[in-house]
Amino acid sequence: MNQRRITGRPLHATLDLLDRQLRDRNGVLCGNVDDLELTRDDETGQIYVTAILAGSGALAYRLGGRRLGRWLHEADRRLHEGRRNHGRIPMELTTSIGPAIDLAIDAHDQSTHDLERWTRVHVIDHIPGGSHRAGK
Amino acid sequence: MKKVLGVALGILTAIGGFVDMGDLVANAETGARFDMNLAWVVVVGVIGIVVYAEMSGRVAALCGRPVFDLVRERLGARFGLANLAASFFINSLTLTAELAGVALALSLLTSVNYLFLIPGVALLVWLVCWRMPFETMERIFGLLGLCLVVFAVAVWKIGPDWSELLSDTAHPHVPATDNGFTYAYYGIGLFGAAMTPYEVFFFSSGAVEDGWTAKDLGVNKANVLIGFPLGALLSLAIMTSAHFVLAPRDISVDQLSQMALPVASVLGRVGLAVVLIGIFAATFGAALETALSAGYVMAQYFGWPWGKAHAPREATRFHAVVLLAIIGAAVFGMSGVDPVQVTEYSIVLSAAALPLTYFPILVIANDRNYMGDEHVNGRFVNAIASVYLVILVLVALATIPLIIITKGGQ
Amino acid sequence: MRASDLLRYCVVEHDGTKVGTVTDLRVVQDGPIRGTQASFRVEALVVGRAGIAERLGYIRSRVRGPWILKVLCTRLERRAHVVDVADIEEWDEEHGTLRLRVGRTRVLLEPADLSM
Repeated sequence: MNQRRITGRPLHATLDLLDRQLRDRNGVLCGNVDDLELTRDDETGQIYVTAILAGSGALAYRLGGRRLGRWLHEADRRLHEGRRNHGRIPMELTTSIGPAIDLAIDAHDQSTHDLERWTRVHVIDHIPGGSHRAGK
Repeated sequence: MKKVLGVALGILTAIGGFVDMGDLVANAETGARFDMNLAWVVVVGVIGIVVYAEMSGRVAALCGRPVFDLVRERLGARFGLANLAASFFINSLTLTAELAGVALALSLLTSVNYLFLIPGVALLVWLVCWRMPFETMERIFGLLGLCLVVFAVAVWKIGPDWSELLSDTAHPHVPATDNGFTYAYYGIGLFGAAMTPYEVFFFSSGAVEDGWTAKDLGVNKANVLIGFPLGALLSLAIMTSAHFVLAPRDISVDQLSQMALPVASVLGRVGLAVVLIGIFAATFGAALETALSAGYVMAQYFGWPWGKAHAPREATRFHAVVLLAIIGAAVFGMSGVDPVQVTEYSIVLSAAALPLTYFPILVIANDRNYMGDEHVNGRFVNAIASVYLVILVLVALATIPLIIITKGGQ
Repeated sequence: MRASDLLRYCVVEHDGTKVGTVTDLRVVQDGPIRGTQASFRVEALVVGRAGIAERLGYIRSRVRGPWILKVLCTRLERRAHVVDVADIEEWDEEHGTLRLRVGRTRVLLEPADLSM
């Protein structure tokens, strides 16, 4: 992709970014923007939005109070120790920002899809008929 | 020609699908207790749902996002979560009421105790959500639900003085035997029954899944503008029949059999069979919609894949929630809780929760970035919608106090 | 740090007078290239009391109606300021406070910013 910008207009974090639906490159829904990672450049004083944070850990951090939220977030992080980029999607992977935010990734690679996988293995697959699309 | 048939089918399904357990209970109870003095609430309610459903359908078609997704987006994570908790809880009560309604209708047809029928009903509802061709089932149940027209037939057979009936309806008052509080309480229930939230969750999610675009807006309007008001007429027929048959005999409605009584007494055995089929179909269809709505609200808040057309493997958490919601509702229903009471609470609380979901939709329907300049709400729609927003907030504020004051409608 | 952290920060003038809480971040995609795109730079903070108007969309004529909500939201945001990131002098992470530079130009969330 050679585009330099995916949006020329100024965005408002609470309106255009936070709590937006995320979609992967195939249109599969893969979570919500639960929080944003900000990086401050100490030299220039500029602040950059460097990543989208998604997943229960990020949501817990955002919603929870000082203690409970941080604790849940830590617990979630430990559960996924060693998982690179757990719940973190670098902003350079966004391909469009609209009513949903499209990403240049595969939902199935994301650790936030783990619960979806777990549910499939432990619940859905035990019930017959789960692989057929319901007809019209 | 085929298109006209399709539109007609859609409208008929909307009519038959309008009535659910909440409408049955609300209209029969108020007809028996307040005669036609609360009929005006049905009119107010149907205008509200028409405006709301049309907006949700338009929003779904133009920005491809369903109601609950947008609720989180505009209310934020915290208020969105509070909304999720409230909506899910009320939705579960409604699901219990619908499952009980199906079981009760079946029990009247088969003479088996309804408690024994609930597991089977729950299983059937789940099977349709899991695997069966949903759209076909929806059509079948919607059309079968038209059997409820037999209430209107019963009223016609009674042969009332129409001018007197219309005059009574147009001049409501609080009857001497009741007080303003119970009148308001039942009014709120009736209002909540007409403006059921799950209807909008289901409707907008279906629109997104079916990939509605601006081209479908016309059909959306037709279904909503014609189908819902005719459905409301069906509700009023239930109320009128209760008014003529139950009220004079001082029969208060606390069981499903009493709701069917007006038809049975006027049209005999055949009428009874038809009305029970109609009740079965209407409540079964509503159970399907409510069960899926449980999945929709949860999945759309958290951003999980969802959809009744997906294979369950592709939307696992969504289907797990639907399954658990059905199981939970069935267990609650079998615990011996009074189904009519549960229904009453579900409709009254539905009315109270309406502003939470109505408000974000109204905002988005005015958002030029999402709707495009031509499809934003016009002044007329905005004016009506604003009035309704105020009404909904007032209703929401009054509900809990009224529940306490009237002790749940005594 | 995270957006949710920054959105809880208090903003004060150089002399300590309270300006408000950070309620929104204005982001522009004009930073140095990362990957194949310009990075997203926070150009300004919106400091006020509630932040409802931004979150709902009642800004820059994006959402114009209905009249009743528009009026309510704009009333609530009357005192909101737009603070340029360059005007932040001091970051107090421990107390969650931002101190602004002396002599910065005070920019109110002007009527033009709120849809009229």
